[in-house]
Amino acid sequence: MAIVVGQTVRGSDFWNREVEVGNIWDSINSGSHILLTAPRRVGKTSIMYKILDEPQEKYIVLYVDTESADSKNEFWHKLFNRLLEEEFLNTIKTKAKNLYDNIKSINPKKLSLSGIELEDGNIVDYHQSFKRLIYDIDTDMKLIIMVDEFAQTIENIIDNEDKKDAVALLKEHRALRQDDKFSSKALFIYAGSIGLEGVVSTINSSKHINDLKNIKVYPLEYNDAILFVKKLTSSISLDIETDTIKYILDKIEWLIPFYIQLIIDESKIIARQTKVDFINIDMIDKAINNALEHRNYFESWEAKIRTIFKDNKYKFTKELLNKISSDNQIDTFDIQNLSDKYSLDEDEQKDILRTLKYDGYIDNNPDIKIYRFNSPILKLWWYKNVAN
Amino acid sequence: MLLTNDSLYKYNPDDMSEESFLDRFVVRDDIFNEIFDDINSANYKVQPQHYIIVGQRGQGKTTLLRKIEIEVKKDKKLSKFLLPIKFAEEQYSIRSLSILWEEIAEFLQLNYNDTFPTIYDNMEEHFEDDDYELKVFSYLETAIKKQKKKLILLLDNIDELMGKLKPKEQQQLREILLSTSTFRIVGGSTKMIEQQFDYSKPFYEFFKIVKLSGLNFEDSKKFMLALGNDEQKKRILQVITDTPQRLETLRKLTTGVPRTLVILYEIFLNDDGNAFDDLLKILDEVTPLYKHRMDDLPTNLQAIVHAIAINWDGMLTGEIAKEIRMDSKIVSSQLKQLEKYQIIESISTGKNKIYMIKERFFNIWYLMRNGRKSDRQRVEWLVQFLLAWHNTKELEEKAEKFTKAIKNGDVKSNYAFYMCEALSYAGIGGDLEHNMKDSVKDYLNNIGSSLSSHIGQSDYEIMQQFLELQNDEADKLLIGYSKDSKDMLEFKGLAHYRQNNMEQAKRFLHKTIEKGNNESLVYDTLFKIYFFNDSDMMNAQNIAMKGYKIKASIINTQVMTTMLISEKMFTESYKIFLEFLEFDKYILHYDFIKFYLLRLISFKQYYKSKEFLEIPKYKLKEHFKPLWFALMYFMQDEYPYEYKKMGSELKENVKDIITEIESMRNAI
Repeated sequence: MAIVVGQTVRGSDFWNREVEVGNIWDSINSGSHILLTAPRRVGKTSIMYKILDEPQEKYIVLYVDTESADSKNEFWHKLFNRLLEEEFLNTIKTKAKNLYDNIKSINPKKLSLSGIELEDGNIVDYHQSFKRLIYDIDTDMKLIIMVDEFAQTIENIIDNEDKKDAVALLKEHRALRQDDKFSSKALFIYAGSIGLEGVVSTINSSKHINDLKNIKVYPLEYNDAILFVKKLTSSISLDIETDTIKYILDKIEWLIPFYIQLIIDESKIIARQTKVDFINIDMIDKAINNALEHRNYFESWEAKIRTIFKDNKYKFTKELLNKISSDNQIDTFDIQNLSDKYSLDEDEQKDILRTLKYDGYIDNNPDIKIYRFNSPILKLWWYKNVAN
Repeated sequence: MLLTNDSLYKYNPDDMSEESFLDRFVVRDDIFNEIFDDINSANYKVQPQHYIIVGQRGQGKTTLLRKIEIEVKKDKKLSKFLLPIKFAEEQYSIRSLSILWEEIAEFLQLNYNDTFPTIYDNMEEHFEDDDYELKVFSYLETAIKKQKKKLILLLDNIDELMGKLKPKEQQQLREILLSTSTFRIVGGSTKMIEQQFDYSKPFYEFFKIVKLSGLNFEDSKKFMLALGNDEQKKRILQVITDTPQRLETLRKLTTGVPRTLVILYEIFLNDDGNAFDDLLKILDEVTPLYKHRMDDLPTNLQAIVHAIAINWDGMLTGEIAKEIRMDSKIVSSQLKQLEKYQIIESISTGKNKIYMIKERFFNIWYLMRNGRKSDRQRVEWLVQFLLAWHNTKELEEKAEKFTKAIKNGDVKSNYAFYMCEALSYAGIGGDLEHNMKDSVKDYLNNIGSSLSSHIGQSDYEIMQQFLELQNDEADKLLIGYSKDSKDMLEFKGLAHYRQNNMEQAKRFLHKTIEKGNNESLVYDTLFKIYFFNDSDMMNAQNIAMKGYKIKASIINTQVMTTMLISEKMFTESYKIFLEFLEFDKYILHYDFIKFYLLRLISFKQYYKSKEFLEIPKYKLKEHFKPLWFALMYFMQDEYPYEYKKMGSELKENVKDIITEIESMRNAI
């Protein structure tokens, strides 16, 4: 098992997230379209690839990242293009021959930016073309369409085109999901670094996604995290005592594989520099320190809130983050209490929380009543450099 | 002769032959191995880990990228399918993502023509397609997959490339990197890219960051020993073996940056100035970049950078605030900004922090470009290196050798000017300095170089000026000169003393002593400051003792005598008292003589006291008549008539002295 920092984790490097993967398959099997939610770096894309790499029987899986799409047409174009790719075609050659033949019959020269040119010269847009292909699937295999960074797409369309177009895309998706013929042949899994709910609420379109089954991605369970660290360190031939592992986990607190791997990676460098074949507590402290030092850009995060928020809003924000850094989390009661201390009304409070979430400071996933820092490294940095 | 035959090596390892390059790759193998092990063991069916190597200029990023390129090509297993793509250091032409893919295609067609004879030509056919921008990568990837190859993109200055990509292109790139197994990026960057740490940006915590720090002593040793031919290696080995502290000093001053280590080492070894010219060439090359970096900063941040850079050594927040006349709190927050921009770095001293320019090379550039021509600012960095590298004797030898080379016309003009100024500010004084400056001025005039008019005055010339002026003006003139020769330090110390700047006076006088100044005036002046101004008895005595050990003076003999008599070291005190009396001006110090004799008498050293008072040469008996009679009072058993010779007008005076002696005696 390699230490993977930043990239999607696949194959033997993927640490089993049984709960999430199990929940996803259960929902798929029950016919639900899914919204996968978690902040950045938690592992959504890796989980999606797990689904892609190990599909259950009777399912074909398609993964597409649409984060750069900034128009409706581009979104559908990207989706359509994925169908044409050899990698996907190889997976359906025997499983969904009809779909395969239909895709293969498309003349690439007839593809333009706006759609497919038919024999009669008319152009069918990619949305319609995509729909037709799915309708024509004649196998009992079902297609799972995993759309990564869908919320980013919506946001891009809002920024570059029009809110109306963004709403239209959401409606098109909902229409497909509500279409029995389509849903019998395919279903969607949406995921993204930014929250879809947050983005659609800004254009009053929450109702267009209220049919989605929300599946949260959780941190690792404590014992599972211990096993994870043991596997990691064994793969890099470094010994580590269980107590040391517990020390790491207690320091990090929010047990996301990315952050665990970050600290193990830093520890590996220290072990290499000191020419030892083990990791101990001193090295962990040094590794965390190095990780914090390598992220001295966190000062810009602190400076940012000073710029965005003034007077009582700033004081509220700072105290909120200080509290989370020392107590690990804060609940909505405490937040309300703090709001009262600084005489902020509900809208002001919500506005601040939304900004902090959007900019990556904190999140309230999976429990919406509890907020914590997105990054345990940021939390450690904040505690060391700001709260104290 | 330079350490390498190709002086360009120092900033462009790509220009070396492969054999030379590999011979010289002796450090950073742990970092190389970490990346290469991953390349070697990776599963090429899935998306790979992408890297960015972060380090300031000269740290070895380009070297690492080249090493990876070479080793991938040499590896039997990897070379079958993995193709390194390494562009020229500055990828100025790549302004967009589609151009990046085109450049890769072109590179493949040129360098791997057997495998990709028409890859770029095929892509060209699609240039006019309306969906070209969306599909360009797929054209490239399809062609590469068809040949069952993978690519490793070795992109230097990746931060600049990323900066040129529009937000949509960055998103597109991320889409690609998350989904393709066709290529891996290993980039080099002088700073952490914003995209890596901004939560809202696509590449937030995406790349694996490998940070290059300065070389430690062992690695610096290995690195230097790998340079040059056999003869040069021997010379370096000798320096390292005989005087390892020199390498350590050089390493600390350059913060272990390999390129700066090499350049400066060569400047010290070579007297013809070729290495110095290389330095100037490199400074020219980096000027647009560094200038751009400075111009991008707001005015107040520029002022802070200026203050720190001109100072060369680190500065405290308060010192910076004072220098630029800004409030400390404001300066403090702005220093944090500059640290974030990685222009400065700080070292904690407990409560405070010392700030200095992070890239020493940038600091050298700054001084050379912005330091005042007419004084030491411009060459401050070279002065510090000279002082760290050479002791006084070696500096003088270097100056002599340098002057000889000038007279033979063997020196490049820039080197002649800068080295002359630096040697002068490093403390070369006297005739040696004056001759050196004269020779350099003549030389530069003869070759028509305008630098001759910028050569500063020698100490000799300054002293001539000083003598023509009145006191205050002369003092101010001396105080204004930033020369560090032994003589100049003494003069400045005395000038400060006369101007009542005691702290400065002490500073310069101590400095001149450190440089080997043995003038009594220096020690005596320091004694006066400690004794009269500071009431610091301990330091006053210490400095007097030190001064006495070097040379007796009218002041330090008094101090020594006083100390010895207090310790009842009579014989020793007699010797020094007599030395004191030898000075012509002893008569200006009757108070001291009286004190000493009183002390002697209080210790019942009557005979010696009588002996001193009766030395014909000094006529002390006549001058200290009351004291004589007081002595005779105590010696009346032996000299019954002497005391009775006292006139009545002296009675009261003598009585007081006797009382004083008895008090002193009781106090013992």
